[in-house]
Amino acid sequence: MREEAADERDLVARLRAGDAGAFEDLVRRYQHRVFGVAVRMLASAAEAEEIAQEVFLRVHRSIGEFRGEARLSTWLYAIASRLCLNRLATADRRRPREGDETLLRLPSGVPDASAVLERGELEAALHEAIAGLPEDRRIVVVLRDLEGLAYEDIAVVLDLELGTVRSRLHRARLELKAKLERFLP
Amino acid sequence: MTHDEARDLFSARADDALTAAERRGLEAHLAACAECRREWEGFARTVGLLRAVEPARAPTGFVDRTLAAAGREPWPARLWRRLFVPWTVKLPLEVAAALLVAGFAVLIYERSPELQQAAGRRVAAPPAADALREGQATGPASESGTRARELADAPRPSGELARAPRPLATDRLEARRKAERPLAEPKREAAPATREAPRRDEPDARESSDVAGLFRKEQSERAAGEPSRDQATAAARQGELPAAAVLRLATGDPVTAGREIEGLVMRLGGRVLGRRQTDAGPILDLAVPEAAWPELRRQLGALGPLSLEHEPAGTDGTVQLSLRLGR
Repeated sequence: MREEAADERDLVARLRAGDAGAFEDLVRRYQHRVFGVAVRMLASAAEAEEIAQEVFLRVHRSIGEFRGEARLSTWLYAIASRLCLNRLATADRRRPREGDETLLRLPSGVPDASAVLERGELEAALHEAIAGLPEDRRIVVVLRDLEGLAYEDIAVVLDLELGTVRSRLHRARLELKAKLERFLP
Repeated sequence: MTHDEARDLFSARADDALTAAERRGLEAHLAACAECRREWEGFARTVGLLRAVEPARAPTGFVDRTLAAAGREPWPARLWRRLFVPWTVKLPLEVAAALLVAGFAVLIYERSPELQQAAGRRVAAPPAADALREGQATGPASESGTRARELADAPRPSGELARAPRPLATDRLEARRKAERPLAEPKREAAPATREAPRRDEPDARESSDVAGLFRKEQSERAAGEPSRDQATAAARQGELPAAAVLRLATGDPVTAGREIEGLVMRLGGRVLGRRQTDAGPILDLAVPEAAWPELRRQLGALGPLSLEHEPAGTDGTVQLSLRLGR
């Protein structure tokens, strides 16, 4: 963890210095995490890529504004979360989107992705259940259970009180449990 | 602990975030309540499923597409970012650098009299060139005149470059004048053209290659062609010839005589424009009120044999004269 934080600081310093290779390193290192948040939130690979790309471009443009009080990864998650929530809040996005149903049944993106979950009904149901959560709860579940962020980091990313993070997470998990009841032994 | 209170702690238990007291209370409740225990098992499996989801991976080519998109950023935005971002760092540095460069420029300018003189002459140069053009228009079509006119009329680019050749010539003249001038000379703002006239009869015409040299050479040729007083007056009226009188005073002690003459000029309300040292003796450039000119001539004549080589012309209340002191 300490080594990763040092790497992040080094990367930030290189980005600020205009190191030509630093931006590529940034994208390579965080692409899957940023894309993961976007695709879980938006349930659309195309939109997720668009949002993920925008996240990196914003970092590229505004690295000078990064004060370094939080970790670089936390900052990336914050930008990604905000962009996703903004996208979901648009009137266009609130209408049912053609093709979303199909996407939800797709695996997570790699051919051998299902080491624990087999491709099938359970996986599709799980993704559908996540996609059916209210957006403010969905983002907490995605950050905590899929991305593994600590409560405190989620509070920073979403600019929420710690208690709000806990309660939203709990309600989201209860809701998912209810939706997945028939798959649970 | 009630069932609801126990189930509210499920999330914290799944994340191992219970306090010691919460853990003790929940464990005791679960041990006694089969329904809550079943609920907990379902909750824990749900969380387990979520955490077992394979991390999503960005599609192939995402990095390249993102790098390409970064390269497609509009150039004004790129320029702005490169120049000013992070502005908290770059802007103060850039301002400091600009101030530093400006400071150096001012310092160099202040410590380089040549630059100051060049800057001053650039302002004064255009009228001199205009006078040259007029002089060529009224004078004989000599070869040197043609050359001067070509120089003056040659197509030039606009701005500073257009004026560049003229200061170069006057720079050399000024340098030579300084070398000839051993005495401290007060700062003069007058246009150089009016002070060049007395030098037209100097034997040394080293500057024939520059514009002013051509000008003097032409004047010498005119003088050789017996210029009439009317011509000199007319030319002086147009401004292309200096309106100075040229006198020669024979004296055994030019230094003492020079001091006396300067005192005389001051008493008559005139002023000393300059002092020059030549091989033939010192030359005083003087100016006196027109009304005092006869008295000055009279008193100069009392100092020694005085010869008037050129009458003053085109005066506007002041008579300028170049007085050569010699044995």
